[in-house]
Amino acid sequence: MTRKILMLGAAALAMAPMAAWADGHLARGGSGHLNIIYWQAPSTLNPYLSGGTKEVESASLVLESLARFDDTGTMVPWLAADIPTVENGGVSEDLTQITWTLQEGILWSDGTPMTAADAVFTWEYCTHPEGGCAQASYFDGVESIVAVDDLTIEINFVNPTPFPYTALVGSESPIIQAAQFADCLGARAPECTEANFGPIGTGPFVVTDFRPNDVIEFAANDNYRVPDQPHFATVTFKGGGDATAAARSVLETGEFDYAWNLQIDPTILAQMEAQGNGTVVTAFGTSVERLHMNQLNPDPALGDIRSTAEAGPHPFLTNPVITQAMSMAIDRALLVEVGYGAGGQPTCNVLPAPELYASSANDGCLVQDIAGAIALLDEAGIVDSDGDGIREYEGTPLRVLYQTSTNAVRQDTQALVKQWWAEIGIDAELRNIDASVFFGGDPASPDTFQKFYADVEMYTNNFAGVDPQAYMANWACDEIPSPATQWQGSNIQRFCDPAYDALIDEMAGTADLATRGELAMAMNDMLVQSGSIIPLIHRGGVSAHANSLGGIRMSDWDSELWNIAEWHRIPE
Amino acid sequence: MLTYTIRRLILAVPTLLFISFIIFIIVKLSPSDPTAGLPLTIPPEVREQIRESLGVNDPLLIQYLKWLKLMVWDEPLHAIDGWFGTTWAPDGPRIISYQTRAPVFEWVGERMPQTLWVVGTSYIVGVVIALPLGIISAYKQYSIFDQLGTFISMLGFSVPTFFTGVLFIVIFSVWIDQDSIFWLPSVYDTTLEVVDWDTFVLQFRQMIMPVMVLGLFNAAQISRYMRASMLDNLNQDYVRTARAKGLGERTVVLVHVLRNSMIPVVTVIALNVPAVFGGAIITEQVFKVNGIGQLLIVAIQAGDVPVVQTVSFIFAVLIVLFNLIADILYGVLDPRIRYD
Repeated sequence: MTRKILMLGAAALAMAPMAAWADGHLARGGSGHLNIIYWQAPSTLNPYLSGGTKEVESASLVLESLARFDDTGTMVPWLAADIPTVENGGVSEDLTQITWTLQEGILWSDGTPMTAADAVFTWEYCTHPEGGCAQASYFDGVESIVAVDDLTIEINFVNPTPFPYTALVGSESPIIQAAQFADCLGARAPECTEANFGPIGTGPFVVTDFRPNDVIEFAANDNYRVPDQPHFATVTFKGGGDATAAARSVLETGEFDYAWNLQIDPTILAQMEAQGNGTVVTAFGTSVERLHMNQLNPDPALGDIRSTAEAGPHPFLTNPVITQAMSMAIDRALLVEVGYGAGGQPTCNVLPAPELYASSANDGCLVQDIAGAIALLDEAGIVDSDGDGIREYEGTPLRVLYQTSTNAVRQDTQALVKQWWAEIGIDAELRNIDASVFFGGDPASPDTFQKFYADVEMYTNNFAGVDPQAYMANWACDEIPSPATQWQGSNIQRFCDPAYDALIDEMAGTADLATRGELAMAMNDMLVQSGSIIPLIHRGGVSAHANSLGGIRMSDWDSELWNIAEWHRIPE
Repeated sequence: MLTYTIRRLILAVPTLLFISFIIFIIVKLSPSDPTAGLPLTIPPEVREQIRESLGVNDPLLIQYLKWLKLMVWDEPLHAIDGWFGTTWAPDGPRIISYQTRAPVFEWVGERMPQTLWVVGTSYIVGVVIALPLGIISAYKQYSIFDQLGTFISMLGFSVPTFFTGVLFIVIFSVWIDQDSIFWLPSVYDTTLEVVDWDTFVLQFRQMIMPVMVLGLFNAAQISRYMRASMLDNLNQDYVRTARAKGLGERTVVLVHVLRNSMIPVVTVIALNVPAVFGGAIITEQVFKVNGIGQLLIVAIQAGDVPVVQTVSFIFAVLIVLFNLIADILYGVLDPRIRYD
């Protein structure tokens, strides 16, 4: 075994100079040093213990999965030799089993071979009841994972699973080394600091130094399977500061080559880019900033039962005419210009991507139409009967409490929307709540987005990967948060329609991709046309890279750094 | 003096216990959640499991007592083991951060060097600038030098570090060309180890901006105290007597006046030393120094109770300790003060 590695090493050494002759920058390590800045710094390199984007993306340099999603959202085989489908026999006819085959000769960075047993171990590690695994949902519905032989992994599902590419696919569900984490199962996970801070992986880089929430140093993995990759020899992955400072360090001072998540004032970002040192890049996934219109009554007078089924339907937001008028009054293009710049596009769909699933039935909302909104309300007899400038519906004045998390862009959006709604005779009271409370999910706090003690709330949600089945199932009737479920549940706007639930069931039993696309679009249209959701902006990731950095194909479907092995320095 | 010190140390124990309990209760009662920062794609059941594995759901008193036991017994033993290579520490659990799932003290230890280097140096720089500035300003009251010193210290005192920091970056990192010797890095490299002259130069250069920003602020504060204290003493009768005896002006000012003026200033300097260990949250963020200040602010944002609590408790210990040191120094500087 050792001899084989030595020979491989010798072969790699022999090949390295040849590649260098061809083009020094494209040899392994030929591009020198790469500086990346993530202003929110990773606190661990074990994505199963954190779940934050920063941890998942930094770990993606080291840990890899069977397949990844490229910049177009297409699944590409990564550690696997190919993508199993029903056609090629990799997925069973009854959709309860998928069989992956690993590429031959994949080595961990410590030189030992990766086998199917590592995949099985990863599943055991993450599904251990005491582990608190942050990515446990990737293994939902998995009955067992079996190592048929060293290279064959068989995943069995409890129910027919039309989209079986969840477990061990994508940057959030990578394969970890069984040998390294064997003693770290369950409650013992935190004891393995060394493993959590320096996982052994199959990826292009190995960790040489890890300082939580500060900096990570990587070096090229000598055992990486592509002979001339990674092109960079070493990587510094620095954290800290804020988004503006990170943008400045790439676009103005040139100290860093790549900066992540630059959600800053678009005019400032454009000014920095104009200096000519770097380029702003964006990638769009499924993130949509939206308004949720509470379908249940949040009247404070109802006390503890507000925003639950017992409170009864909302006095006016269940009327699609009113919500449609509210949607028409919004100038989404202006919201993008003010708050998002390159990082946003107006959208009328809650499911704007992948293309296969994107409906075009609601595109009328892209253009603001205040006159149309006024006419719509007037026609429906929803008028201002007492002369205070606010319309009434069945005697209830159209006053809404509109809440969101504290964030400069969101407060700008709130102010603009409030003004447009005032123009059509709807009054909005604005409120913002600290993000850690709003998204904190503490059942004792009245201010969480799940409790929704307001009429309208705004935030962004998305789904990981490319399959919307689980995401669309968020709006099933039984997903409505209530005291009985400790306010857990994903149907935040309390939308309930048996016809929608029927579509969810239908999708769960359909494997054909085109039909799934039609179902997803139908569900999207049903949600949007019910008025319970007003989509505003399709949000993308915004990053910046130095002009001397080549090979970047930013993806919002996977880690932004998914193809870092191909990144290289462009010779001057 | 010894009995006094011992009495004060014994009294510190209930004080610190009380402080630690208050910190714990405040942090726990605040509506923050360690899973709040996670992407919304992570479902609530999984969040609940994470909370369960972190022990967030244990009864409050149990959580506090567990932490207290680790803090005052296990962790000091681990520290002793680390320093002297002994193996006294029990194998059991340690204070674990929610964010990293790793021992908090190792994290604190890792952050200490850059904080001490940057904030400590800036404190020394501040004191070194402030003392002569204050002395000369007071001796030559209302001179041009005094007016200028007052102007600069008012500026340093009232302009916040997040402004001066970014201003320095724009001037020295953006406007000045990278090849120039006046160019300074805007991002502090915490992995840099000083092993030879070149790395020393790099370290020196990356420290200039954060140290100057903080040093200006510290100097402004201390020089005002020094000046005021000198002015109080310069008009005293004993100064006139010293001059009447025919002592040189240098002896009068630097021996008689200075020593008496130092008493309140030393207190101020000593009481501010714990702040050096506490880091400088804003300046550390601006220059990406990532020391103790940044550790604390990130932990607060992430709802990382063990880190917030441990770091705040360390501050509390340092503050109590340096209060005592200041009181003892009082007695050393002024023989009239005796505590026994």
